[in-house]
Amino acid sequence: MKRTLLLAIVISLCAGSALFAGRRRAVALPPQDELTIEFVAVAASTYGDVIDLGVITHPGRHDRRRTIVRQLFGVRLTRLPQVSGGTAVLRASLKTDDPRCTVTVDGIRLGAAMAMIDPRVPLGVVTTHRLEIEVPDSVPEGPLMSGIRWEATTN
Amino acid sequence: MKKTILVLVAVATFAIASTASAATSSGTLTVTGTIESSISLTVESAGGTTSGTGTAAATSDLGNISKYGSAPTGFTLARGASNWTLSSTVGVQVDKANLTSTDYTLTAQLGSAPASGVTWKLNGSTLSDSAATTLTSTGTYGSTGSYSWDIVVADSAAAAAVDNAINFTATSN
Repeated sequence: MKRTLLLAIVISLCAGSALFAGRRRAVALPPQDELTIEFVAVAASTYGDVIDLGVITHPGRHDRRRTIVRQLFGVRLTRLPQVSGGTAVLRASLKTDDPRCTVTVDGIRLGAAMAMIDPRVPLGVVTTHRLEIEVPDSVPEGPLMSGIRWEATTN
Repeated sequence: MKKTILVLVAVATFAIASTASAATSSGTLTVTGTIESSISLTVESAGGTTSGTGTAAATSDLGNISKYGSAPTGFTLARGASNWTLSSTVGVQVDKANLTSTDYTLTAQLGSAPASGVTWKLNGSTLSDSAATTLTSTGTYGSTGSYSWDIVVADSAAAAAVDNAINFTATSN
């Protein structure tokens, strides 16, 4: 009985392999699924994949030891070839970290490790997210730059 | 035979499932800006019935004042031979943000010429509307500096309003 079973498995694998090989030869491969991530302006200060917060000045209240700047921006995930529906996991981390500020997206503080921003982002539509930059009043003035790395994976 | 079929189905299912994979994409969003240094000045306290303390625009109402009347709230009244003086203090705080400066200079200047016979003083120095008077050149950020405030009224001064404004200016050193 064991021999019969083993023989059946070997035959089926060989047959399957031959079947798939035949298909590869006969039918063109469907285009590989591709997912694109695009940043969309929802405010005047957003230009493509750059958000310029302009001049960041402390509000002047002596009971606040930090300056917080908020900015909305949009993300659109598109799957090619286009299919209706579907969702993706959206994660983000700091690619380049300016130690003078903290960066949060949708209330989630970003660091070197990828953090989950949204587990189910609908594909093909623009979802709005809130960027928040917090600058302590103790850090010196000067230009600021942070790079946020984004990663999307279809569910 | 049944076992053989089951195994074949399992193998086929595994083969199909292993061909499905999630699509992944990545991108970078760059955030830029310029942190600008700043200082802020607030009036924390003052004699009289004061409103707007804790802001940069406070108002003190002294009501009706006279040599032989009572002193306004928060003031003392000293009667001299030919004049009388209302005395109090003004608390001014200067805060800094994103600035490496360690101290500041604070000046004061009257918003308009004082009424005839009326003298305004801060820290013992007479104020004018034409030039700023330095109150301190080593002010400490984040703490309230208290400055003596005197209004000296000559007995010869006409009965009239003494309204005026003291404009403070803080400059980081």
